[in-house]
Amino acid sequence: MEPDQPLAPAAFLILFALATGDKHGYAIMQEARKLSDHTVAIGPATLYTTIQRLLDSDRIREVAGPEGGDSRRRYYRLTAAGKAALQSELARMEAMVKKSKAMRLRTAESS
Amino acid sequence: MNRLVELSTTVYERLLFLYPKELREDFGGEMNLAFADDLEQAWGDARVAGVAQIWWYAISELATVALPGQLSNRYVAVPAVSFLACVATDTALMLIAAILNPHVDTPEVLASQWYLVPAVSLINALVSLVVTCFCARCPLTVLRLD
Repeated sequence: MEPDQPLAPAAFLILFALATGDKHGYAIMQEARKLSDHTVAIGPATLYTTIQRLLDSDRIREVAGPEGGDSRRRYYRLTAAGKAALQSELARMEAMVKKSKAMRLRTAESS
Repeated sequence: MNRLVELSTTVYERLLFLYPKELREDFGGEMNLAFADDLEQAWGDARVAGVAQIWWYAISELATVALPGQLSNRYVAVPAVSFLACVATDTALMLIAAILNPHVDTPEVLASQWYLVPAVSLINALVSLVVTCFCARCPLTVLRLD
């Protein structure tokens, strides 16, 4: 993953899901689906392939789970690089929406 | 645990071997756990339709994650490409030969000798696998003198 490149939808949703706190894989998957209104199909393989890439690029890191939690589950946390990537992606999206409004591609009702 | 959910989890666990080894070793257990959790939730929400939806995700991931992941492994990619190329060229050659020869009954030939193309292609794939393994161990390729 290149630092300034746009994020893939799954990576963006995983970072977004982790923005509200540490989560294990299944919780990330549920949150990501909810955030996308179930329009992005994230299954276990997509989830963990993307988690692997995010770990490799230091955008997330593994952390200890809560006391008495399920030991089979690993928890993940957003790093500073991950927060920066999420902010940058959100800013990119916001800029695109502004441009689309300026070009009158979006009506007042759709915004 | 519901019988359908239990059976689905067992089948998914077996299907994990289709994913790249690295992903399986690092996250196989968690993938299976996430799939089981997802199924439990789906069964609670929508019964069979929910389970079918989860299976749809899982099957589409075989095409979008498992297949590209395996094709990045040369020991899978080279024989697979070799097999498919051989099937395509042999089928084309058989058809051309049958069309150019008016005395041959094409459908009958294809029906009686259907096994020839897959058999030859399989041998071709095996040979390409052996060559790939040899190339990986050959000092010339290690030194990049090939």
